[in-house]
Amino acid sequence: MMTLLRRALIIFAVLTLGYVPSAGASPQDIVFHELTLDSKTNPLTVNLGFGLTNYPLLADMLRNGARAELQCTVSLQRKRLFWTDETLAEKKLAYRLRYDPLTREFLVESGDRPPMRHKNLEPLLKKRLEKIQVRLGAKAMLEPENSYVVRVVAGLRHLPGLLNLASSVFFKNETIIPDTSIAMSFDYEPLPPAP
Amino acid sequence: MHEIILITPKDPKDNKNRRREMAGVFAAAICAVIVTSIVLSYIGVESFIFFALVNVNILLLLLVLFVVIRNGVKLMLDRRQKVFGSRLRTRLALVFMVLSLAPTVLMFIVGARFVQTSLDYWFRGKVETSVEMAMEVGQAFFDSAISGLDNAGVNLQRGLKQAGIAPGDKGMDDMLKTLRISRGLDFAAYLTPERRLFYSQTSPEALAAWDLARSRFSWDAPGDRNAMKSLLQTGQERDYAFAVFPLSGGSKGYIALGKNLGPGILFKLDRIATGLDEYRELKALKKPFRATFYFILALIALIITFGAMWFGLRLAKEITAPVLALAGGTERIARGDLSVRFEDSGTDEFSVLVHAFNRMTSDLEQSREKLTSANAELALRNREMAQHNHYIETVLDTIEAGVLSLDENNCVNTANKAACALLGEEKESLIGRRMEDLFKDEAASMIQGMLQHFKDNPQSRWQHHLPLGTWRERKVLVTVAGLSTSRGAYRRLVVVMEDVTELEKMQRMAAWREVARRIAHEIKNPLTPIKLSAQRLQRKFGAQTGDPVFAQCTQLIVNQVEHLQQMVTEFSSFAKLPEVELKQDHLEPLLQELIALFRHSHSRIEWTLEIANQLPAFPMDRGALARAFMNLLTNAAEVLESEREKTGVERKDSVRVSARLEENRKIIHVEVADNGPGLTDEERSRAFEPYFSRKKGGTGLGLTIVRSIITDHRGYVRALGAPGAGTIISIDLPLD
Repeated sequence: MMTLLRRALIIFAVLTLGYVPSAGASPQDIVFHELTLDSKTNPLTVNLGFGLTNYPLLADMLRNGARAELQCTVSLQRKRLFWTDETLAEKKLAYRLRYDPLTREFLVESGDRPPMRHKNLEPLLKKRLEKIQVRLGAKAMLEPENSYVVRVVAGLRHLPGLLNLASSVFFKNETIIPDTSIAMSFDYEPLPPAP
Repeated sequence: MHEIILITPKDPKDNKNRRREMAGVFAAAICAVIVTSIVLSYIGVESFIFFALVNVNILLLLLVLFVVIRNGVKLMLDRRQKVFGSRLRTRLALVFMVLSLAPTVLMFIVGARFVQTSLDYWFRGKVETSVEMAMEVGQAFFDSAISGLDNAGVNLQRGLKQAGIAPGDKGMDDMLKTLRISRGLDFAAYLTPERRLFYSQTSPEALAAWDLARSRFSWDAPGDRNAMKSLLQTGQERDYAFAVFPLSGGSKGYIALGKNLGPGILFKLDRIATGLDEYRELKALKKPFRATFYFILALIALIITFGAMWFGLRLAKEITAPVLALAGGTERIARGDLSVRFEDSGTDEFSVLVHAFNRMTSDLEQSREKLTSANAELALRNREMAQHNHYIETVLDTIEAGVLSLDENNCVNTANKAACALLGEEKESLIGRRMEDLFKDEAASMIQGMLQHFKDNPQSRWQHHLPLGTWRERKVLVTVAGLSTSRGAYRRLVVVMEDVTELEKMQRMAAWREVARRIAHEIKNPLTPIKLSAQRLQRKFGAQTGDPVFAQCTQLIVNQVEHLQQMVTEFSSFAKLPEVELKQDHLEPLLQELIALFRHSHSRIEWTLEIANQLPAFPMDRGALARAFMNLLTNAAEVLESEREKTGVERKDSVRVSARLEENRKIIHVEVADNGPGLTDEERSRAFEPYFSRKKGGTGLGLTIVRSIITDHRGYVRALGAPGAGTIISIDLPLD
């Protein structure tokens, strides 16, 4: 009986350890509309476009005081057979979303650029996210006869609020939309020089 | 060699380890507090570290839970198996658990209720309404400010259109100026499509504020490209509201209008908006807050409960350990193992108990050793006493004197073989009988007198001859002495009985021999002259006197003198029986010779000699034995002839002489048996006494002489036979 009890407790512990408080079943996801790599330009440019499946839900959250951040990581990796892929270049994008109750406008802030405002979230995000250009780095990174992959990972999570209660509240699920990824693999073959 | 069992660890290393453990636990607790503070303050709950720490805590909690449950289950199993000490441990653990659980549950309930009430209070409708209303006031103010600018902008665009002034024309500046004055604006400007300031009617402060606001406009915001865009901007001293109106979607430039709202308005509006944001943020965290508090409360409650249970179990174990050890030691002592000792370095009551236990065990061990040695000595003494008793019994059983011991009630307590033989009873029938009941008639009354004598004089001795047997044919010398107890009281009697019958007979025989010798000596001498004188008178005067009386009288004198001479001769023979000279010789020829003699002399009697087996030579006096057998055969013949004469019946008289070797007894057994009238009991008992004869005129010395001769041969002779069944004289002659 002791052996059985011990095993049960071990299993319970493993399950408990393995349990990761995950985001509540999110009713929306990130969808990628475009992912292309412009290898003609130097530096290499990735054209990216994505959006959400349920803007009103996010809008309600923002109106209720939530602050969110859409994080996107674009990376160029060289494939390796017997090891993990080598990351040649990586760019991180962050779009901070919030609602201004005074002006009743949604704001999207990114980097040093002035925030984009609009009374509706959907056109605002569509405007902001559907056409993104990311410059990864010099084309010299690419070596002929190698396989590469452009990987994009995007997710939406809560930003620490004004009260910064992240350190005090345990069961707050910070993830709004779990990371979603898309990848595009290619083999690099340089174009022959123009005659 | 004593086995030492430690109650509490005495080893300094164990204590050192314990102190080290406690220090480690204390340090771990401090580290936990510090790490928790750092993580919560600086890292946040979103970090991997926090996640790892939470899992570590959960693991530790599970570990504690596992340990507690394991110990609890083990305790239950022990209790079910009725392991000693399990009930006490269970009780202690349950007490600790109940004592900790009750306040903990209470604390949890109260705390949860408090949290719930507080959260409900914080987020009650009134608060939310107030905050939202404040926000609405702010929004109304903003709307009001923006709507004024919007109205001015629309009017300006209309005016420009009506005036036909193209964007960028000089007339626009005037209109901007007019608008500014009429509407009381602080800023009115025309921006190029490149969003550069072309015309402006503004104060320096407003201009400075516009410079700050311009970068905040969402020039490329989606939606209607002609829609007005507005925002609030804080200036140096006052706050401004700016509105931008794209002309033809911005392709012809923009009109920007601004109005000051007064100092601190934006800050206040911002605070209202921030307050609403914070409230909504808090409201969104209501459930997580509640869950967090509940989690913390539950964690604390579990920690307290598990800690109390663990502590209870540990304390119970520590308390019962010495009790169990003592119980185990007690069991071992009960089984006889007194080598166990306990050692306790503590100074509490358990130590007192342990020391008392050790003392008790030592005392028991010493007592047992003493008892063992005493038992050994007692066994030795018992063996010695048993040997002594056996010796005494052997001595008593082998001596010829009968020994009886009487108890306080004068009942027979012990009796040896000789006593049983003398009294003619078995030992079992003697034990317990009263002394006076063992004797009859005169002897019984003498015994009663003896007992009374000892009742009065317990320390005296008593000795007397007592007659035994139906015809008082045996004489016993009874000596009685009192047995003293260890306290000096005389309560028991020892009776020694010696059969002096033969001794008295020998004494009597010796006396009679002396008498016979004296009589023979005194009478013998005058008899001869008397006989001679009588014979002389017969010779001298017999022929002269014709009176027959003279002849009769003289003859009578001669006959009687001869008879007296014969008697004297027998007396003399009895008195002068010679010592036997024993020499190895055979009996058979002697018997054959005697039988032949009597066949010739007493032919009317059938004489039979039966020799069963070869008779060996043995020490014998041929002459004495011849005289003895001669007397026996003569007696037998005389009895038969006398019986024939008395009854007048012709009968076949016979005398049988038989002899056989009895090797197991190492004797030669000889019997002389006749088919005469036999002997009565009195005759049989007195046959060998001197001067006892059933023959008229017999001297009664014949069988006495036979007994004397047989006795000299260390043999034994007795008379057997019942009246009418003939007489048997049985003789046992030893071979060596």
